[in-house]
Amino acid sequence: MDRRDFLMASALAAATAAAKGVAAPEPPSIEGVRWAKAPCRFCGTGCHVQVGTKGGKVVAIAGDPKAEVNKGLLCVKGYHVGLALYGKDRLTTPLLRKNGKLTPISWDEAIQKVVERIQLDPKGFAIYGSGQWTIPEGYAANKLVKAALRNNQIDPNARLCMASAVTGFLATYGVDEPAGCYDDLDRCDVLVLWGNNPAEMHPVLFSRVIDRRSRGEKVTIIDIGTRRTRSTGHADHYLEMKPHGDVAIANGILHLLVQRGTYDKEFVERHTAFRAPANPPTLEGAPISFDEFKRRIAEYTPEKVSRLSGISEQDLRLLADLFGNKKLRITSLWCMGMNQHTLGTAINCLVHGVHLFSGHFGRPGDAPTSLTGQPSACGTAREVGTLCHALPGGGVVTNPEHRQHAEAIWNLAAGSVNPKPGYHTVELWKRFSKPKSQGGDIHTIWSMVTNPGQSLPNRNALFDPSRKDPSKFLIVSDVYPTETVRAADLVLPSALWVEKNGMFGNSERRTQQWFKMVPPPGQARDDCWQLLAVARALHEAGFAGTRDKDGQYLFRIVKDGKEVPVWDWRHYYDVNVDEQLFEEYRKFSRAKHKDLAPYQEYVKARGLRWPVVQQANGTWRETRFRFAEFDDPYVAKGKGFDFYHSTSKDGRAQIWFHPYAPPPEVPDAEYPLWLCTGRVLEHWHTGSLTRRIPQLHGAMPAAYVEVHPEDAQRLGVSQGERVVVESRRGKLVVPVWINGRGAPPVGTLFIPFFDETMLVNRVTLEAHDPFSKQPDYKKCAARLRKATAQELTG
Amino acid sequence: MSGWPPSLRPGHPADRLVLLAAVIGVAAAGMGFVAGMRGTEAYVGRLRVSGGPTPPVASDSMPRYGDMGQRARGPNSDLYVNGLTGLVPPTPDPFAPLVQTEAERDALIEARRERRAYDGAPPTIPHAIDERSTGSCRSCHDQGVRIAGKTAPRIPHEPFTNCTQCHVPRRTDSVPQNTFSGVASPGAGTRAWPGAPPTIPHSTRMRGECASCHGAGGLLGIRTPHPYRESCTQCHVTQGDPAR
Repeated sequence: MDRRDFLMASALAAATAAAKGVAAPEPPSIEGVRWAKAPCRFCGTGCHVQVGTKGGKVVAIAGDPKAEVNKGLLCVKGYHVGLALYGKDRLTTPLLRKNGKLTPISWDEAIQKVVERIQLDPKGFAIYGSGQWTIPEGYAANKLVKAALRNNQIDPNARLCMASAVTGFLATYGVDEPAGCYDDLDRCDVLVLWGNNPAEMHPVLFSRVIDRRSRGEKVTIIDIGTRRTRSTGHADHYLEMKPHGDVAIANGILHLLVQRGTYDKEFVERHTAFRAPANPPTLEGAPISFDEFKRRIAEYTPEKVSRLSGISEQDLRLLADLFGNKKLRITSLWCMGMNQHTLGTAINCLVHGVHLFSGHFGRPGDAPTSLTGQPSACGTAREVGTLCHALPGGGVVTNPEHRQHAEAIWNLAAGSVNPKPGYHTVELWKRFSKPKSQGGDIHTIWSMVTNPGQSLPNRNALFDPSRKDPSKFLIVSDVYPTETVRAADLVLPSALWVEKNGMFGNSERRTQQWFKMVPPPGQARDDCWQLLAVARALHEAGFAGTRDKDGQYLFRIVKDGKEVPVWDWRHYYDVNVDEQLFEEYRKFSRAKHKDLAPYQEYVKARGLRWPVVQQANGTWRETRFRFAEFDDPYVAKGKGFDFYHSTSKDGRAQIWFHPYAPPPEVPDAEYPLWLCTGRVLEHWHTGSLTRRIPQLHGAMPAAYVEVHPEDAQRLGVSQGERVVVESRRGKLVVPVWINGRGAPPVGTLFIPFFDETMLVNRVTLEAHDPFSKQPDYKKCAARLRKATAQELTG
Repeated sequence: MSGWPPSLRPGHPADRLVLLAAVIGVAAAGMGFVAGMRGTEAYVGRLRVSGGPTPPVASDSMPRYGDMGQRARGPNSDLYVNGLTGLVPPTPDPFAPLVQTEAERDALIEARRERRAYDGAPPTIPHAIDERSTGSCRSCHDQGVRIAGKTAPRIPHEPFTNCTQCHVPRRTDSVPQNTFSGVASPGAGTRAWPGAPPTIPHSTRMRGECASCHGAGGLLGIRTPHPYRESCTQCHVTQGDPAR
């Protein structure tokens, strides 16, 4: 063999080897990075991420290509979620306010302090929780309040975001949460946005729709909103409405469907019934006949709807044309625009009603889809029932059967669960802010994983007064110094995201699990541990509520037959507390057909959508489309659809009539502008995490007020000028952004709430929906004026 | 003359003013003409030096019509550097000889690292953007373009419509302190022997379009010496978990 042949032969051999990846020398492991799955810490989309860790720290994030939700894609917040753990000012020591100053104390002291406050008067001790609680955290808190303290004083921040969606679901279907799932986004021909901005707020879901256009599919997007946003740029039609216009528009569509006869006659006849508000008003309302419904809807002519809503008659007819066309698959999306609304329950019912009435329901792509904001408002707040009136699995404290079911699972004596609901969020903070002599019967609030000092509406009334009253005590579990932490009496440093085990439940009923990957800093400890430590300390102090009817400790965690002292932090991870609590909580989930699978199934999967039902061969099958025979195992053969929690007890969903009513506060001579508040892509909620991430803070460093150029000219303010925006309740100084990211119409202002140096919630009002008790952050009357020199420096 | 306004008839006191204005005007025009000639002094000078008329020859000072776009001339030279003609992406010549240095490579790696929280993160945008729509992103990044010595790379991943979902600009240098230390770019791939095709040292997730960074129109410092080969992954493979 000559040299040439030899070279060719070895080249061939090497090439083949390279192709098989065998003979070529083993490359060194490039990063030494270990990858594991977790749902993202941020929004309710519930994207799955791959978290890269090395040396006890998160060093990289990647979208998880195996996840159905996001198929490997994330958004800018998700790509930088790992950095949320590493802001320089993490809370690492428990702190107690002594002589006005927060001073470090030990965990034992801190836990004792919490117990002290409970013992002071158990009836006046409340927990303010969160849709960012993990499922086991929420379950431990709910059990502590409902089974041990028995005062029902627990409510989540989800009251401020999803409560109206919940009441809308309950009033329509008798049970919470969407019937469809994200698969609908892959199939819809028309996407209607009802007052939300998914291009910034649920970006991965929005991409899922608009990227279909790159593949040649046609998707018509209709943006119904009070101002132009980034989503508008991708829409085919923009329908600019006045506040509360959505109620008129939905009624207008129903009216035209009746008038034209283009509603789905068969579906309506077989599967729906009609309701109207009762007197006095109840969530279930009063049944009415179809004829009565037609009579009441008759007044919502296109002319009247146009007048009430501000959209043109032509645009209303466009909507009715679409909904009247059964060949199209229509998905409606909504979020805070419809939920943070004093007619929130009504508008939710109406949009469900439009879909049911037109038959755009129950086929992939035909779906009224309420989008959730927080990562586990569904999974924790709603499903675990961490609300003042609720029990796990969709139960309510006012229902004797639900109470008995809880007492059975918790092994409590009959009559243990308190039938009287506690205070909802706005009421809770009001009672905390008032002195005892004026009915302020809440003396302590333990706020966990949320920032009410920044996010409560009308902060001057709901939050500030308690901070001047020495009899009121605020306990805060959080990870960074926030508005709430700075005002707290006791601060408990907490573990964040992958510093602990956890589970979340996203917008499409998908429960997702993750394992702890890195240690929390300093003395920060899991929120769940904090709750169990308090429960144990209460127990050791002889508090009767911590024992079940057989005298056993209510929060016993057992492994191999022996109790594990999980209240001792050194032993907390001797056992998987998440798994134990979840397996107990699971028992509640069958009652309303929200079946959850065993914990280990969630370890294996990138989440599973409930009801998860075990098959004959032992595998667990998730449900994508509820109430529909083709996919929901709880619908009997031949039924087509079965709304098995129907409030009319006949398997039918309710189509509601709700009349239009104007907003509670409208612009007048004194306060001539609408003020709307909301979010931006870069920041999560109150920014306590995202404003510590350089890439996100750097992209959106500060809040602003969006002003229309004509308004700016009339008011004599210029780009970037710091002005005062004020209402009857309070004011803030904020810079002007003309022709910014969003474009409000003349007479409307928009301010995002992520910036703790510009608290827009001093200006907003706490008026709320009568059923959901959810306040309206989207519309109040304000004015804008030039700032005085003192206001600019002060 | 009778048609003229009374003030302009000869003998009228205003006549002199008009005459003065005309003289000044002509003088100014003349001076302007002479001054304007200065800009072409070289040309004029050359002609003077060579004496009488010369046959037309290409010279430094006499641009060809086709060259005018690319040539910097006089006070308006900026116009040509950042000009519209420069925006047409020159079709990179895949057979042009490649000259790039280690220093260029190092500078590039550093610049890329600065814009990414960790290797694999979506880069932040180093320029101002249109807040409202993403159509403008595509006008440069769809094909890739070179402007004023900078490269706007072609999008290396599959087309997504909502660019600003993942890529955000940096509006301020005042950013919070954060102790996160992201995994670094792995550097060069490994070669089985000198001359063997190097392995791909990075994940190919969101990096399906190799030419975006490594092609003839790509980033100087990491360009491939053989951009005329279209099927990169025939010879270059990733290492480790294919799911990554």
